[in-house]
Amino acid sequence: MTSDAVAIAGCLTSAQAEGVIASTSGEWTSRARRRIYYPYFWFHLRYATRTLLGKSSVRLSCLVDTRTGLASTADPFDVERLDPNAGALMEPRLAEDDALRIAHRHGAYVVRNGRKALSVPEVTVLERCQVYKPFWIVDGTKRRASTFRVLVDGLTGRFHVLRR
Amino acid sequence: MNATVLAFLVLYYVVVLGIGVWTMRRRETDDLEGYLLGGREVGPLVTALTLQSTSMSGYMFLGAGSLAYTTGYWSLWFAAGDIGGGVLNLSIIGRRMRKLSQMMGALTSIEYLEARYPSPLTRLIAASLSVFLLAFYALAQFIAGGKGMALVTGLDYEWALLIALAIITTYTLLGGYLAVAYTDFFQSLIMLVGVVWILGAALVHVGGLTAANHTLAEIDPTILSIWGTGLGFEGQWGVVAGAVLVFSAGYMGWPHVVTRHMAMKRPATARLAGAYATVWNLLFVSAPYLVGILAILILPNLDDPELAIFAVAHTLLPSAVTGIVMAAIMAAIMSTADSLLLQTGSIASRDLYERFINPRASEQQILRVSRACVLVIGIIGYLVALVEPPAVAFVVIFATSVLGSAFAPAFISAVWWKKANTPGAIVSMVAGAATSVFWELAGLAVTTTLAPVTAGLAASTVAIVVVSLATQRSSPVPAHILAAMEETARVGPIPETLMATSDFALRPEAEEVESMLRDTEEET
Repeated sequence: MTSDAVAIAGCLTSAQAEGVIASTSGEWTSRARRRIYYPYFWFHLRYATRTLLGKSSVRLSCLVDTRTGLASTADPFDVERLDPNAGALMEPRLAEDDALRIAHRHGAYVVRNGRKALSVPEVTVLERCQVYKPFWIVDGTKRRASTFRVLVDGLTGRFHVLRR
Repeated sequence: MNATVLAFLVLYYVVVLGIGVWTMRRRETDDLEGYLLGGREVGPLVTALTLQSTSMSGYMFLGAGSLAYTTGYWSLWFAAGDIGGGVLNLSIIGRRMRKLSQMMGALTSIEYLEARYPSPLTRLIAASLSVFLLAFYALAQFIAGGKGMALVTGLDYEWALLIALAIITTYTLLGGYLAVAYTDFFQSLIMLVGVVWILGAALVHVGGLTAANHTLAEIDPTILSIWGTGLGFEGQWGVVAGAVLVFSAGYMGWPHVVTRHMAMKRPATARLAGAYATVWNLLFVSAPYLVGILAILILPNLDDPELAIFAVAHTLLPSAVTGIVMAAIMAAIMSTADSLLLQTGSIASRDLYERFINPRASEQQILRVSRACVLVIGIIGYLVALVEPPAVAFVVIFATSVLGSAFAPAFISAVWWKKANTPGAIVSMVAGAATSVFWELAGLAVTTTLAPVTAGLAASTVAIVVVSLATQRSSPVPAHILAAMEETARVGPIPETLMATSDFALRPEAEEVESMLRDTEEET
């Protein structure tokens, strides 16, 4: 882990993550086991398109999953320096240039379809960085007989059940 | 056509343009992500009405009126399928397709088909069929636009067609509307107001529906029959099934509509949007057909049945309201035409040119191909619409029949049937398209009493089942696809509420974390 690594700020505490799962799992007991930092490339892009009334531009924030190559638009966020003891870092598998190409394509698709216009936007990269997003791994147990494991988004509290 | 009508039509375009300018300038920055990019601020109501204004084309004002004028109440079979089509589509493939497409990283419906049925041939066939049929479908919008423009301006059809085509292609090429979600929303409201207004005026004019039915029965009782004027389709359940299926099952084969379902933010939006879309459909869809039927009484000697709704509006409504109705018609045409051209250009450039001809193509080269595609469609469309314009209803029903026959079984099986594999899907697409085209060209609907879409859907369904089962060993469905389809069934004993509220959008990250945890456990 390098000291330059940054994460999206505003991570839920372990108690909050447990609370999210406890509120939807009734009698089950939930416990946050560990925090994991998942790697993304973040690009802040400007797409300038020609319209009937001249040029107009749109700013787009795009996160590219550096392990699966999937891209998505993102809401604005703040970053903070990563505490080396805060949790495990997952290794990225995607080069930054490849991630940028994916972000360009995703953004162009979104803008073109959003505008319903057959024009290629001019893309400007405003900012870019590798950023980690925090996740909590929460285990649920019931009378020690059965267990489940859930991945909790450390920012939004959304979760996904994991295979054990 | 008088100046008031023209003035209201112009006013409509000014309002649409004004909405675009207002939305662009209401924020100080250029950060318009909220409504433009992924619809984060666009609620289910706007989502639903945007979908509807794109789906409901000029067919509703020209084709539907013409069908009703010539076949009577039989035409309502089409309306029945159309009313249920949106909900059927959302409930059968909408939400599951939304999940799978995200898991597979597919942005377009063609990409999705190739990801689910991995083979370059899948994309080649799907893209080629889509380009041809969507272009054909766009032709119907050109003709409708030309006829509408001719009526509004009083110009000859040839010139009106040229102007309509020039407007549609120019604004698509130059940048289109500025704020699509809100202009489409506005257009859908105008369409609804326009068609309900004209239906109300027509009902008042004929003394209500019961009185109209009595008069129609005196003219020809078969107009009221479910078998069509002159009982032309008596006992032909295959043709009736086709009329219902073409805009219900056929809807599931439209790439430009299916793509919109893939882009929905989350399943909850889809559910509520489906409810709003159904309410809108109930109010809107049957109205043009009913106006077409009432036009038999109001204007019994129309030369061109496709102008039934235009002519009823012109006859019954004050000029200002006629202007609104004309604006509604042009709204329907324009909002569908630009979507069709955009989709066709995108598929031709991305799914054919970039994928098979020039994989290293730059965005500029891809754009050139897209624009060339739109121009070629425009030129060919103009020539066809000028020399021998087919009926709008025929073009739309034919294109929808072939698209539905080719793609509906492949899209449905993709999410519901784990054994559906690549050879099955490819044969299904070819068999469905070929059967419905052959059925139409050979006129087999008359001799067999089966509509092309009925025959096409039967052929493509049988093909995907038989070929998939026969090739399970040689072409098994890849494990990662099976895993994605089994997502909700594969986990252990966990609380039901937890499963129900689990966010599938996190699945790619979850898989990576699962993999990392497994590796860690093995090491320790």
